[in-house]
Amino acid sequence: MTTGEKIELNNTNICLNALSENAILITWPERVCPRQHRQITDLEHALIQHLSVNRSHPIIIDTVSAYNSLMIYYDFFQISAQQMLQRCQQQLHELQANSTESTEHHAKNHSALIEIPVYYGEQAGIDLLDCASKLNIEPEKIISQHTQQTFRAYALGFTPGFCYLGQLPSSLQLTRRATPRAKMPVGAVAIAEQQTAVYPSNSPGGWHIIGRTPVAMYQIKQSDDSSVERQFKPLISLGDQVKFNAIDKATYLELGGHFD
Amino acid sequence: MTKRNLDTQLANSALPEPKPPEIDIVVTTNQCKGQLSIQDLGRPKAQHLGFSASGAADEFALLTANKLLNKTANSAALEIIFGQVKLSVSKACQFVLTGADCRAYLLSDELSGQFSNSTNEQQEKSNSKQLLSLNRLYLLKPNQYLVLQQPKYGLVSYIAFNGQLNTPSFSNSQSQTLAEQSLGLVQAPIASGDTLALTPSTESITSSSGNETDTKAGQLLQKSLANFYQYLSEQVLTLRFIPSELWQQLSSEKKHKIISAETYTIGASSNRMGYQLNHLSIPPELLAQEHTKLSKPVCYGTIQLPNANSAIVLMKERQTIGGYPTLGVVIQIDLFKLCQLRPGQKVKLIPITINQAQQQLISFYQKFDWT
Repeated sequence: MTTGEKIELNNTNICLNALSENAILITWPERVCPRQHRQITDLEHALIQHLSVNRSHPIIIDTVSAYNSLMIYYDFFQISAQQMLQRCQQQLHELQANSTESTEHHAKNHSALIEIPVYYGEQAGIDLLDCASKLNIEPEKIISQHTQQTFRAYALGFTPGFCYLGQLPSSLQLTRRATPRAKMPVGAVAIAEQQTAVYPSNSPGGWHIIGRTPVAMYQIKQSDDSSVERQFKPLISLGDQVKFNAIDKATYLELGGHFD
Repeated sequence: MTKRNLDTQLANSALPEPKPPEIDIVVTTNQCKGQLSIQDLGRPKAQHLGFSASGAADEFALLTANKLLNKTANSAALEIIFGQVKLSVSKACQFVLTGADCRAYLLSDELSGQFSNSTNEQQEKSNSKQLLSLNRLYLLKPNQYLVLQQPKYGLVSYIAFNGQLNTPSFSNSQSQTLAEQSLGLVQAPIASGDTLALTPSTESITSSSGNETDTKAGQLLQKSLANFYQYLSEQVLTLRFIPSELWQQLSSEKKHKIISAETYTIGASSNRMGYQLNHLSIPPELLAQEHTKLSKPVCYGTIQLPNANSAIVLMKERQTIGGYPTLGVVIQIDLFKLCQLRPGQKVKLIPITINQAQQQLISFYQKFDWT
């Protein structure tokens, strides 16, 4: 039986797969790696640029990228799955042919450093002591390791404004909580497996809360004209660098932080 | 252009466009949050920000409603899951009902009371009323209530008005998503007693352009559409899916068992976000190997395998990224039917090629002249 169309690129372990009527999923090897992720976001930008020339009828509807994958939603009235697979493959080849300089250029121009203040005190980091005992290290060590490193924004998803940041050092890696919390507090700074993130809104969640930030993860721009749509601006964009800075309780409250 | 022309044009442009006065629609319901929502074709362009694509569960029914009212395909309507809604309007307005048949009727003001818990009483009431047909144009007057009962067959119904629902739009869509309500980007969840504003269309639809119920062929078509949901409920629905790589790794014996021998039961926790299918059997060792993989984007119809014996088919209010292994993706025209099935009903699975799937979806939209 013939099944979903699929292309596997030679020597790269990159797979292109026509997943559904209007979506192509490109997957890279199973690893969290800034260089590989840069290639993913570069391909994403290049495809959007080349396949959205006709602004009123762009071929690409939207793209969603994650650690080692890129989903491309396209207008199947304009292009078949096979043609779309070929266009993606072609773009990938072009990108690989003139890789290094453009990648550096891109990295310099597009990624920002975002600093996020975090209160790690026990009123905020409600799982910190529990994590420390599970990881068999001092709570202070968790804080110092979490604030020492700069993380990369690998994926946006789960809920609007939620950004998957990686990669946690192996000394901080824990499996998710056995029972997820029904309501994570807004601004909860949490860890799970090799990732860390800030919960932008009250949502369920299974990650371990080690602190809390007073900073909003997104902004909604209102308009006086009711016929104009509101704009949603996430604080972190894909590919950004994120650094957490420890603050004390007074600073947390001063910056607008609160406890539920 | 002469100066006079220009002056007239400037004068005209300075004047606000003559807008017909808004109509207030008052909603009464004893349904829970999220069962009654405003839906159009959703916001597929906001998925990169983590927003659910959302949109009408049964596109066939929404597109039919919009077509009958000469509206654009993406126009918003009220989506109702499992009926039990009562509407009144401040001014007369044309409407159509599509999707599951809620045995709707019009009730004049003086006869209307609160919702009765006794189904017998409701049944009695409806027996004495003229039940409204699906896919047909009606007029709701200010002294009347439009009452939708529980549907006998199917689950999702639409009420579309001859006008534009005035609710906030985000990323070109008025669709509501339960998990995103706290963001306040679109209309807050509809509760009993709420009022929605409608800008009526300047033209009323005549029955000749609005529907063809007066012709014999039209009547036949109407009957077949109305029976469609009953047919769906009585058959085992076959879900065609585009297989994943995990599927390719299964033995042909195993594949055969999954597609031909088994039917799967829809689980009780199914909703606008996902449909649960129970009694699957996937080799656990295959899943264990997939479970270690990184989260990836998921799409409409993705069949997730959280464990070896159940699956979740992602529906309109799905998340954008997911971590579970996947068996494949159910084709969209079958998802429009799946949303009409209730917990306990059965489905089968069968693979289909991407080309066949694309052709099916293209011809589906072409029926509505939408490309």
